[in-house]
Amino acid sequence: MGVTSAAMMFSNVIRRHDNVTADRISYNQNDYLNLIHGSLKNIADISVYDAVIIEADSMGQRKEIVNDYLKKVLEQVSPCGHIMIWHSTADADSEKKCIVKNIVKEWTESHENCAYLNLDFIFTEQYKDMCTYSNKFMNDAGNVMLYRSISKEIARYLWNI
Amino acid sequence: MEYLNSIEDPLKKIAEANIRWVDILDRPDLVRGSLRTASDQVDFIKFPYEARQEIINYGKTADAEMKNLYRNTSGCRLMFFTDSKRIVIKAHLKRKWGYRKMNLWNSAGFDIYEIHKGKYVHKTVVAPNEGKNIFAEQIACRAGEVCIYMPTYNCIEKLLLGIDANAAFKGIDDEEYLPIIFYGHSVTEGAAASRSGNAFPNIFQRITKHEIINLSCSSCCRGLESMGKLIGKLNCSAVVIDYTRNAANVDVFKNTHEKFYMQIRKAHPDKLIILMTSSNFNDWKEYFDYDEIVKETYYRAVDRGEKVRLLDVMGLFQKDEYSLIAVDGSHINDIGMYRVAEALAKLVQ
Repeated sequence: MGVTSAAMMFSNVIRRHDNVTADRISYNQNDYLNLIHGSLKNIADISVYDAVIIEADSMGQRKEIVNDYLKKVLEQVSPCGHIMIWHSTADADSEKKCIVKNIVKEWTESHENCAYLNLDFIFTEQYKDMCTYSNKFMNDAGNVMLYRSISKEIARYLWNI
Repeated sequence: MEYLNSIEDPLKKIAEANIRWVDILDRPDLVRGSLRTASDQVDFIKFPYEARQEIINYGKTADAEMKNLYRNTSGCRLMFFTDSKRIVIKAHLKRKWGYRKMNLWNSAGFDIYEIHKGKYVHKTVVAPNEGKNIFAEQIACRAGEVCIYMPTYNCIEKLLLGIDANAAFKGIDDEEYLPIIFYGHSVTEGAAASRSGNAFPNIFQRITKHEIINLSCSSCCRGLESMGKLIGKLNCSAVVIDYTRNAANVDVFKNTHEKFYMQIRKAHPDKLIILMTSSNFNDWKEYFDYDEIVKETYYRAVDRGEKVRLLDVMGLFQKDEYSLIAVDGSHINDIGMYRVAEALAKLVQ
């Protein structure tokens, strides 16, 4: 939501600029981690993916959902080579950010293949005017910022760049 | 968002009992960016009758766009102070539908900023859905100055601003400089920005605090004699000419670009004029030729000692980022809009 054309979605930018194949699971609902958890059950062999990129939270998602399902989703995708967990939300979400950080911290202490990307900078004073519509939605520029940040992590992991 | 059949309809979702309504069309003191041809009524007409007649010679597309957009509110904004805890925008727009080049938050969007100690802080953007053109929306706000950019690709039939009945409300005397005039095409009008405040002339206004008047209309930037005449009459501090891509072909452009520049230069002999080259993200050959013509106009003006500057638009972008900053061969998104605005801001310093 928020891009001017499908080509500007960050996942599609990753596809064409990094020349990778990507499958995407997303839901246009505030609470989505539980739905992602349900969808992942239908994937027979998650280990075929080199990397999994998970949006850990969004502005509208309830903290109970983050608390209950983020760890479950991490467990589901753990057979993958690399897991990237990111969020980019406005300041109002600070309580949920702590939940995400704690879950990720706990997870990374026992798993090496996990990176945590805090991309909240998109909603900071320096970037929000160019990159967002409001405290909820990003535009093309926000998606480009996501692409640049996530792509760096992909390059670091997959190609040691 | 509450949709209405008529702007006179009472509101059902928004508590209306303690709202004082300000009819914006009666308050030219609150509006920036219009030509203000009427003394006590806001008049958003930017293209005079003469221009609307002249454009008929340029084909059906240009004529249709002109009829559609000759009083578009791109570059127009409301400026006021209030200590109301909420503002309500109740608007009747001309057009119910969006454009394929952009989303509704831009074409039909009222883009709201709070101004903190002179700094613009984006609050939110309000726009109706497809198929709707009469609506009301309430926005919580805190005491201070507010700037609301108006839709880039729509026209206002009526606009009411609601504030708490007992709240303070007044215009702002913030015009430090004479306005800068922008004359251009769809991109200059704001196409493909995500919201109206991020059309590059509006970003330029926030960066420089210069007042602007945006005389741009999609498909209609043809170096019209009538528009040259109008710009020549306006009391301004500078003129930005973003005339390239709407010209029918290279020959037409060659015959009109410098002529248009000279018409404006004659009327404003000492004013800064900035010439912009084209945005050309698909290497269209004609656009390279257009840019050469723009540069020829520029260098001859420099040789004559005139106050002129050139913005080489494509010089602002790396080739490998074209697909990140433009949605097609010409229309730039917010990254592109910011880059152009920042480059223009440097040129007027």
